[in-house]
Amino acid sequence: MTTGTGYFNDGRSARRFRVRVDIDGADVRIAGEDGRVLARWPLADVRYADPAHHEAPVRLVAAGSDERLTLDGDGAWLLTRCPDLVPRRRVGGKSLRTWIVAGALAALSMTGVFLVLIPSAARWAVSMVPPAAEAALGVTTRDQFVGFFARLGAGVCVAPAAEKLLARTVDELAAVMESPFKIQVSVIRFPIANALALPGGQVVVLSGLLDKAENGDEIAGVLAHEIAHVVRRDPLHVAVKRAGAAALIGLVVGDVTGGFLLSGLASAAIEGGYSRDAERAADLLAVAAMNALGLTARPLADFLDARSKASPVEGVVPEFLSTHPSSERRADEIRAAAQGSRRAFSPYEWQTIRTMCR
Amino acid sequence: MESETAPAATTSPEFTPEFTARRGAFASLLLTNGLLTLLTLGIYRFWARTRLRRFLWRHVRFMGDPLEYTGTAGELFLGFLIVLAVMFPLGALYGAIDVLAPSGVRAVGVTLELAYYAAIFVLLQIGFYRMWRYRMSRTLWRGVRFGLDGSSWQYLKLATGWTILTLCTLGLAYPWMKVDLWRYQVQHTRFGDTAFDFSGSGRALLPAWLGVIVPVAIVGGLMIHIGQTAAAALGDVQAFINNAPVLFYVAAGVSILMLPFTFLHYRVRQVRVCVAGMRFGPARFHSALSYWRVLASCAVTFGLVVAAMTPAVMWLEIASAGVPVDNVAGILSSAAVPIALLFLLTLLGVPLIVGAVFGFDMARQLVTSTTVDDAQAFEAATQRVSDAPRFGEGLADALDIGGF
Repeated sequence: MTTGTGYFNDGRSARRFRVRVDIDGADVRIAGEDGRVLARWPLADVRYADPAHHEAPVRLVAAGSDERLTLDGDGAWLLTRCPDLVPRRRVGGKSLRTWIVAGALAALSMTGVFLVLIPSAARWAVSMVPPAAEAALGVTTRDQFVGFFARLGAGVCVAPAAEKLLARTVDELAAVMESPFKIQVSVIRFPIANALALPGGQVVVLSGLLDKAENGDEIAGVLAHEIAHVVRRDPLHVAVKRAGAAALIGLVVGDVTGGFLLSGLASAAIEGGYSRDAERAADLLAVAAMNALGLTARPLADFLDARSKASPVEGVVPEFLSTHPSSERRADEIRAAAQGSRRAFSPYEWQTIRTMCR
Repeated sequence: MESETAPAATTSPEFTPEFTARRGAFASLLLTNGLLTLLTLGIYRFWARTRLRRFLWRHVRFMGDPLEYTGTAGELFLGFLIVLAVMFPLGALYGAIDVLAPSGVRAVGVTLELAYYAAIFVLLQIGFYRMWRYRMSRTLWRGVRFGLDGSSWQYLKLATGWTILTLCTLGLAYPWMKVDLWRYQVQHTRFGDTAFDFSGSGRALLPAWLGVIVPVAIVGGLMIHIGQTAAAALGDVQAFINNAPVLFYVAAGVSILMLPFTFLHYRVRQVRVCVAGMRFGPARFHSALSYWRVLASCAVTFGLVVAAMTPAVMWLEIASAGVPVDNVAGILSSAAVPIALLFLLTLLGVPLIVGAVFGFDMARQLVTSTTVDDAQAFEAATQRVSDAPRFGEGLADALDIGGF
């Protein structure tokens, strides 16, 4: 059988024309009931009107035209003669290799955006923020931080003598590093050994650090490292970078199935803290400043060694995956660069600092 | 030959569009779409939407012929990339607000925040109108394209004026705003060369709208009044809240519980008024959308979501029993499986239930509750050659409007 019936829309009006359809050479011929030919479509141009729907009633279209032909019955007599019912160049028909290449390119460009574009844009944005604004931001951030610990029952240690001693060393270091900010150290009574730099010259020390340190020079080294972050404006850089990454991920992931949740997780995973480069740069800047002041930087290296022994977990994550270079490598680099021998605090001064939270 | 393909019905003066989709097929489409979207971290959504629309369009039949959706995922993706360039600086600006707002530079923070919300409002309106234009340009019936004239700037102006008026009248003008914006949208929508028309007024919606806002206003007023007298009497609102009369809580509770019902009732009325005002030449539209059927669908959906979530939540409770709430690592390790299950349910299960039950019901009820008389006007329409947008919906995607 090479003929059939159906109805036809001519693409110019929304009327239906009852038609007889037959194959004439390499064309399908569509003729009205009066026998007048309404359209001729080359068989090679015949497509399903809806590429995903092939069931009866079969609706067909000539590629690129607005004409539609709806066949009575299953239309098999015609369909078997059309070589290209579903256009070949459709997304699902692409070869696996095309997909792999496209996926790799997409992954590469995304990596570029997150590792290069956003960090450098954030550097630029940070350079546009006047230091006075960053200093004001630093004060509020510190207050939030202190408030957070206060809710855990951990207060700020008040000890004017010790604070004065810390300020002496800190001011020396800040002056050598040409810090745009006045450095302000807050010590919080909390049993974890950690110190961190906030924007605008605010440095927070948790008192566990004072308990775990062997001597005052380790504390001086840690403070030098944090001041180096402050001077490099790393804390603000990280904040801006995170905001940028979260905004971009939110857009790419969209908000369909829990995209909001995914974007939060992903941005946390992508940028957990300072990059390894920022960490290394802070080490070098800190050691250079200590050298300039004649202070010994070796205790900082000892402290890193002791910390990495105390928390063996660090060795589990290979260095290239972790954002911090492994403590051992950092310690080696610091030892190699350290030149000074002067101690930051006398034994009596160190005793004053060590007990400031007791 | 199947009877539905026969054009015999064209002599009848009144038509109800048919909805030929089956729920099972719809649910399986939603499931594959959801899975692939999740696995591709959202990038698949453009393909998912295109498949979904093709499905829905093809299952709406009018006078025996289906609608046809001719949009492609590539167009949506292109629109997304273009809008990324607009939205990314805006997102970064919002991040900057987060950084600057608490920093004591309060004036800067507030100004930025206002600028941000103004920008979002503008983009929402423009995004919506452009989305409608794209969808219409990709919708065909019997080979003839729909289209949208008018300008998104005009629409924005209209929306801005009405929004200000609605705010000034404490929400009273809301139905007029909805109907007037719909009027602009419908009067600029055309099928082929013929534009739709609209006649109707927000006044028809006033009773339903009052049903929404009057209880809210009464309880709000009551709260303020009681709060003030309590503060005057005791000098301490906190003390009053601790000793508040039962009436206070009952009134507040009832008004909060009523809100979803009154608002749904209003929305159904709004659909009916918006459909009933439409004209296409001599063709008139009518909607018999039933509040009770919509409500029933909501109730079933809600019940299924609760039924799906409850076992997982109970499992989580049992698995994490005895672990202190602040011990996050402990909870994660002892209840990893129920947490993963809840995660999957939230990301996949609940959207699937909502889509396959409520979404499907709404599509079917919206389509089949509509009747058109003198529908032959549609057959008289002729194709119009016009510029259709080459890419689509980026803004609507970024702002999460449009639903599907």
